[in-house]
Amino acid sequence: MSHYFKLLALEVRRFRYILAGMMAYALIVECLAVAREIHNYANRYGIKEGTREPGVLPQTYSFADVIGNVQSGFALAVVLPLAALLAYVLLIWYRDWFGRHPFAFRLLMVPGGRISLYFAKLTAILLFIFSMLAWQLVAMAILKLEYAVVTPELLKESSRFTDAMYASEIFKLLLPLRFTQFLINYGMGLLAVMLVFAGILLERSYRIRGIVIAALYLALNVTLLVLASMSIELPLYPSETVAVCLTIFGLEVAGAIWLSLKLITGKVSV
Amino acid sequence: MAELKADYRQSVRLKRKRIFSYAWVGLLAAFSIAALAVYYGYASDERLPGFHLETMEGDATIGSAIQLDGSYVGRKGNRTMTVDAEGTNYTDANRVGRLFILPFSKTYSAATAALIKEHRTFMRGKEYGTFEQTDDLLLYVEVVPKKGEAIVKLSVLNKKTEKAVEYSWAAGTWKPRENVGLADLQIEGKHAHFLLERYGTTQSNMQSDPQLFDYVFDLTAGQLIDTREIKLPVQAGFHLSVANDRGTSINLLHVVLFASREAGAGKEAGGDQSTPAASEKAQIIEYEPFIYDYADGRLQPLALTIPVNMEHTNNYVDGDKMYSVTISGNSTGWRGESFDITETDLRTQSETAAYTLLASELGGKELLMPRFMDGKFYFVVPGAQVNGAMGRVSTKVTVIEAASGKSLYQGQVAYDGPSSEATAELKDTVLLNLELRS
Amino acid sequence: MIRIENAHKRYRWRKVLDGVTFSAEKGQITCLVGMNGAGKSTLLKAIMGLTPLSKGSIRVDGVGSKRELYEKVSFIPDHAAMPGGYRLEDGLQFMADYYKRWNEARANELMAFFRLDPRDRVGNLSKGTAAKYGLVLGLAADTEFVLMDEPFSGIDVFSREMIGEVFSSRLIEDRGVLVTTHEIGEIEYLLDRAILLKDGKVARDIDCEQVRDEQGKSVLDVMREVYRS
Repeated sequence: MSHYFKLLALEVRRFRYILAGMMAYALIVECLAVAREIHNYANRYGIKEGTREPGVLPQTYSFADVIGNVQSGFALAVVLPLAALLAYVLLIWYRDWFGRHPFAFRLLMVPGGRISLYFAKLTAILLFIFSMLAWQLVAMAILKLEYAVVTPELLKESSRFTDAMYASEIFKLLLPLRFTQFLINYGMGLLAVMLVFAGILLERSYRIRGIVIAALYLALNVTLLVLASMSIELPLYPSETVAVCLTIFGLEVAGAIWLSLKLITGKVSV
Repeated sequence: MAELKADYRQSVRLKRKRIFSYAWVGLLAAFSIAALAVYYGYASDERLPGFHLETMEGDATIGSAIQLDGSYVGRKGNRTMTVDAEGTNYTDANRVGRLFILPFSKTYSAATAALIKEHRTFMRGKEYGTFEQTDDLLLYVEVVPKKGEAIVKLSVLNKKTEKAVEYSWAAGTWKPRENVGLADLQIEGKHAHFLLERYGTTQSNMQSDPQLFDYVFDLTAGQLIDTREIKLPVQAGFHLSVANDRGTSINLLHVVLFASREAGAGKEAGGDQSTPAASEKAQIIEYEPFIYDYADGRLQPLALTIPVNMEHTNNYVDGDKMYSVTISGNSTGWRGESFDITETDLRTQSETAAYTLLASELGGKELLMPRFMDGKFYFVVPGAQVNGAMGRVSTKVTVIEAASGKSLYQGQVAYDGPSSEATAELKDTVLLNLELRS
Repeated sequence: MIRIENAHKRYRWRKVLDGVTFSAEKGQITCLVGMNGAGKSTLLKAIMGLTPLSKGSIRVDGVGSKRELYEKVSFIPDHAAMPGGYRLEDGLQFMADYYKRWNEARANELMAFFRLDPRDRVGNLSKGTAAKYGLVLGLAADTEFVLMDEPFSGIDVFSREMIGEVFSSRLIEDRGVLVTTHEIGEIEYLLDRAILLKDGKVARDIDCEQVRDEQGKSVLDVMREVYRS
């Protein structure tokens, strides 16, 4: 158990600068986007320069409105770190095999450590994802402050926090307001990561054949999920269909973990 | 064995304290959990407002069977909800289903939901058909096409023993351009009557050659005992519409049938508009009403005053009486400021009551077409729309006794919170659909 | 003892190991000899569970699980196997964190002997220095067996001498050592047993001293016999 924590700490430490960099990047891009948007809006109504046309009353611009209008800015701030995280789902394994001194040798020889290694890498990925999400929430608070400071008094209007979160298309996916939706989105995400891990371990155990098997395995899992969701066609009540979907989901998670552990303890080659 | 020769001693300080290695992990974990917990704790259901149906006047038990469907359009969104005497239910799990095709998207009508609650096993998989029940029995019937034939499938549940029996029989053909549907289902004593309507469709999707059959089924014997074809004594080329019995009496069951055709279009069989010019002119439609008695299968013409805007009139049969509901004046819509209601006695074929309902008298801006059940009309009475808002601050419900026009119940949608916020929240409610449970 | 029985391994349609059987005893230095690609590294990795065998068995005395294996057998691959950004002291910290039998005093002794600066980064080491560092990592723990993969290949003469010194020191004394090399000349004098691999099978399994005494041949001579024919 202590090996798990040590390995997890190792994975987090290896990534800490990149994580910090992604957080800084996201915050800066979002701050700039919000500032630019407010500035543009104020100019449109000539507030700043005092060139306001008489008789044209400016509409107030609440924080939620601002967020609704910086979709592309937010997209830019989120897409890059997201891509980096997705790449790292692969790299977190492959980086140990690259180079002149593949670290995989050491990691795989840690006494009683292979299972811990798998879960350390898995939880590290989850930790990075959730930290970025949490950081995004903090960023929203910071942006709210920025809004309060930058917006001219004339345009200010209060808005609910949940309105602001609902205004962004990206958040509807990444930080949905309903907790059940959050669980579904990230449950599926977790399953996807586990499937990718299984695929990576298949490739590291069987090379080219492993990639083929991984593709088939992925197809099987996707098919099962689609079938599960099609169980709506069966004469079952909604709560029962949910149970079916959850069961299939659980089986797939268990299957992915079992396969990955079998591979990493006995079939992986360096 | 030789010792290793070492020139200098250098001790490698294993300096990094264990605690720092775990610092990042602990920090990130705590940070993530805290932020997400605060977010979901605070956002909890987006802090959506709650509403309920409050009884202002009259019998509260009437109000308990009412459910209003609609949506809440505040908070920069559009969430579907249902409101009843107990409170609000946001049903928009459809959003949940957007990412993954999840089964939350199956929603049942209030009546069906009530039945499911009572008879869960029997109701499984029964969503598309018609229900009818007495004190002892629950009937479910579906008409399905199978190899070019129309099959009537009947499930009978004995409510006391919770045992169900299935029956089915062929009811004519069902070929591609044919339509077969159940126009009415009535339980008359020990018999169940299945009124099956069938017609073809023309090129322009108009009804053609309608036929009507009454399948009489003996519930105790468990078999079909009679198939009656109801032949309307009118020229070919008519359209058929059915006003079925909404009453709960097991005697005096009738159904009123309207054969209609465009004035002057009787010569052609089929009677569809073949020229574009003809369809743009306002059609004058002639109606011939008939009354059919389930008990003895007798078909009689009905002397009825046809209202001017018959196309926008709803007719409800309740035992011996029929009610026609229409909007006052020459309206061509389904909602208005006042409604005219007439009661016709089907035996004497005379008008026995007539009255007008005014939205303003009932406390609202307009009336929507009502639901009819057990000799009562259930009206939604929305108030005026506030400037800039999509919803209505005031949404009332009035239940009228159909025979007399007397108000039996008045209810209003109220906000579950401080009255200072009530107007602001209510103005974003759009609740214009009334459903009845059971 | 480490006992390998009937080991088979296929790698990309080539039969690398085709029924290899031998054993390595504690207190002896056994050498696996073979041409390039003969499967020597593969055998070491297979013993360490770093690659699976298609068929056959490997048994290490007193070892029931992988956990015990890694505590009792240490493996020194032909590279440092630490991230390039790590300092040498970080690598030592890693070993200390995960291995119960890590001996810090011995690690320091070896670092001093090899004149390694703990502040250096692994990525900046020359091949010779990296090899020495690998020895530190592999020998500092109190393991019963040490497996070394090509400890001398590509190393300069002086480094080789230092490494040779380690071989004759008490650091190796009671342990079982299994070495692979294709340059037998340098270390022949250190060996107790030599196992010659050819075409995926064991061609000869010789006791070096015995061969020298009884037949007057060096291991190199035997090698010529086996590989030139």
